[in-house]
Amino acid sequence: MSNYTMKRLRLDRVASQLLAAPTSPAARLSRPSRISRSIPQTCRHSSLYNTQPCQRRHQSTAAPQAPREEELVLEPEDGEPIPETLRSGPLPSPHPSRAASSAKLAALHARLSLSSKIPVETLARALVDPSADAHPKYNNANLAYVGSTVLHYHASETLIARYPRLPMAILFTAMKGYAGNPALHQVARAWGVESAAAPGEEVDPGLLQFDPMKPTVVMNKWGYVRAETIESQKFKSGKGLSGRVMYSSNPFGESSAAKALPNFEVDDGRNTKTMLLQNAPANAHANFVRAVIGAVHMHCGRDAAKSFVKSHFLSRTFDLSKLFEFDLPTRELARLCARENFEAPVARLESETGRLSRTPVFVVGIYSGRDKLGEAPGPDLDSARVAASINALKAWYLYSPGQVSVPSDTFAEDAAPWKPAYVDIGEIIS
Amino acid sequence: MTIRALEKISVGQNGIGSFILQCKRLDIHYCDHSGSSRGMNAFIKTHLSKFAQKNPAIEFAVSPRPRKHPVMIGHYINGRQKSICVANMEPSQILKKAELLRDASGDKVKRVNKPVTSINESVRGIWSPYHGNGMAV
Amino acid sequence: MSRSLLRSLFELRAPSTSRPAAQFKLPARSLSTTPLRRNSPTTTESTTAAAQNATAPSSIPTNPTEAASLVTESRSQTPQAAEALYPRIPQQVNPPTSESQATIAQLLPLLRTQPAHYLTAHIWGRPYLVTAGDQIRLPFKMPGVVPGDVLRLDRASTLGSRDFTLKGSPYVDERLFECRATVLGTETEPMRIKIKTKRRQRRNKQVRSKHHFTILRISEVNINGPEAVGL
Repeated sequence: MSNYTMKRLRLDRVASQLLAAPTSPAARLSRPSRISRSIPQTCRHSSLYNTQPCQRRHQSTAAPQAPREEELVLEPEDGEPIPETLRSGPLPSPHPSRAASSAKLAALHARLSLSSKIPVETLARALVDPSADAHPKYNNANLAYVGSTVLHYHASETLIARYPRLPMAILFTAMKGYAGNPALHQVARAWGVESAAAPGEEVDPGLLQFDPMKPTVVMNKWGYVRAETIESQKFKSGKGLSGRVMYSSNPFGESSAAKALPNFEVDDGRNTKTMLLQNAPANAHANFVRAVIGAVHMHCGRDAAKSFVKSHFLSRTFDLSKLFEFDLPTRELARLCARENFEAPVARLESETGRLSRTPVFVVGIYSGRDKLGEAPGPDLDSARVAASINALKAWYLYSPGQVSVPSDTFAEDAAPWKPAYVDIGEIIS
Repeated sequence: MTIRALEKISVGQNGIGSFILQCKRLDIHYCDHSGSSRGMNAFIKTHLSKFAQKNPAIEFAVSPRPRKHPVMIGHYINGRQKSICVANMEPSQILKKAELLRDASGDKVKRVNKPVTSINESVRGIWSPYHGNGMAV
Repeated sequence: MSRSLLRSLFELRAPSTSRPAAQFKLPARSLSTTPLRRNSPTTTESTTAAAQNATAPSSIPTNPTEAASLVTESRSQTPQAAEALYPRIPQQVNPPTSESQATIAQLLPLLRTQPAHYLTAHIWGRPYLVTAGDQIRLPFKMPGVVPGDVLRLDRASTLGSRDFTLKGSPYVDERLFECRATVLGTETEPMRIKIKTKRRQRRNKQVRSKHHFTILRISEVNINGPEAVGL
């Protein structure tokens, strides 16, 4: 649980720093280069942040690939500016300067009613998957990572504040139902995003570009694969729920994506077919959606990103009571009553009809003392009792204090101080 | 671990939280010479830029189609398309047709008898014969 | 903050994202950001069921923020045009009896605490029992609205939750609830063909008709407490 609630994102400091123009040229030169040299050594397995120049670009020529002109502005230490005429091969993704003239891109920008603070070039960059362009300055991996942290933060704080008694397994699945790849794929399709047949320099910048046969980036919780995840997979541990809490590589309690990751560099050619993603289109669409959230956060700020997430993702209809599947509901209900010092649950027949007929109906209520915990009809006494205890357990787990404030409400300037929300001690273990 | 979770996906409904215009592209075909395109050519000259400015969420594609009647084709987010032949129409009539294409959802037209459609559960619950005191006959 | 996130943010310092003024080359675009649209939506104030009010509109909007958003953000037309099409007619409330006042003060908080709410909204005299998220197919094409407009429905005859219902006579006080609907578009139906025949005449006539319907989505149903009417 602590993974969700207390992960404080202090993006504001860095974000404001990033979007402001650097004051001195020395700062402009030093900061990116320092970061780009130090971090890849610390996280070897990062597939997100490979800042080494992409090998695919260099394959065709012996001389270093001519960087695009923006690159030259930002990182002069990369080498002398090389005029565009010397460029040998085609670019892997459309040039950013073409974004302003793309009708599709402008229509998508207007359809999402994005703020005019977000330039279309950023939207064009959000549409380039790492499988199409491995260069981290031109694909959406970084935007998508920022977007995924923002999305997961708001989704988790909303779920935990609104349903403080959700069991961990249900919380993982609910997070996936709101922010997982399948849900984000549906969102991208509802936004009317079309994908290009194949990525390349010549495609319209308003199309989603990805290549299902090339390696890509899978968003995970940490941005890299942790050593303990690799260890736990080697020894096949961490399959239980507590292991999923500790070692999962994404906020949905899964570690399957990490299996492919350790050797899953974006720009090397060693990827075999077994390492390719199962559902590359869904992954690419989902990364685009995350990148749009990241772009909103970077250009419009924290509050805009929060309301964007709320209006496009958390407003979707999701019936959490359909997620539960119980093995032994009657025993679990008895444990619950013992834990909470309720009287032991008793099943009582409330009403019945047609006991001797082919289709009898029994209505069974579960009582604890004078309080009715749940009720359900069933075709025989036993299944009615089981269904009634399932209803009682769902009523317990899906308790909601109503519209409560979430921690991010206190980020506002004139916000009231945070009053700790009620979160339950945990699910019933039997 | 007695609780297992079944995977489900949240359902989005347009208009809740955010609104996405369903018409994403409008193809406009005309002919320079034939008389049936006269209204369409006037529409392109006079009305189209204003209409496109009012509807930034739609991508407009204007292309000639010689020796054919003028056509407008709307492409929708659900993947369907709707085409209208606007031969021999006045520019104002064509503008009406363009608004029709913009307002459409792209779904197949159906006859619907119930005014309200909902995916929510009934708020007041379903009447049950097994509860209450019953009725004296 | 995690190392990776920090790194992502630094990487995002790409020049293509911070190039100024590129967006001004594009054709006109909706200037409202998403948060604006969400919070104070494009509002065409629709005073539904306006016909029953014989009083002249004294045009004092009860909710000043709504009126403000109407001025700033009407997409389809100028605010004056919206005002002319859908003039705001204040509700004529019969003074509540002391009994109904007591009931509202006592039971409305209970109604609010139950999770799901419904209301019977009246649009041009017809009742629609809706909850948040429902879609309404109006039996007519509403003039002067475009897809994306947000209407505020302010005539309702009942408000309710699972166990409680507040009935209006004939309408509930409009300060007690906020119900908003988004215009999704206009739909139509397959053409109806009616064959008209006359006796002993060998001719028959086909009458064709095709109707257009405005589709609304109820985006918001909020019920205010009794303090909204000063109880």
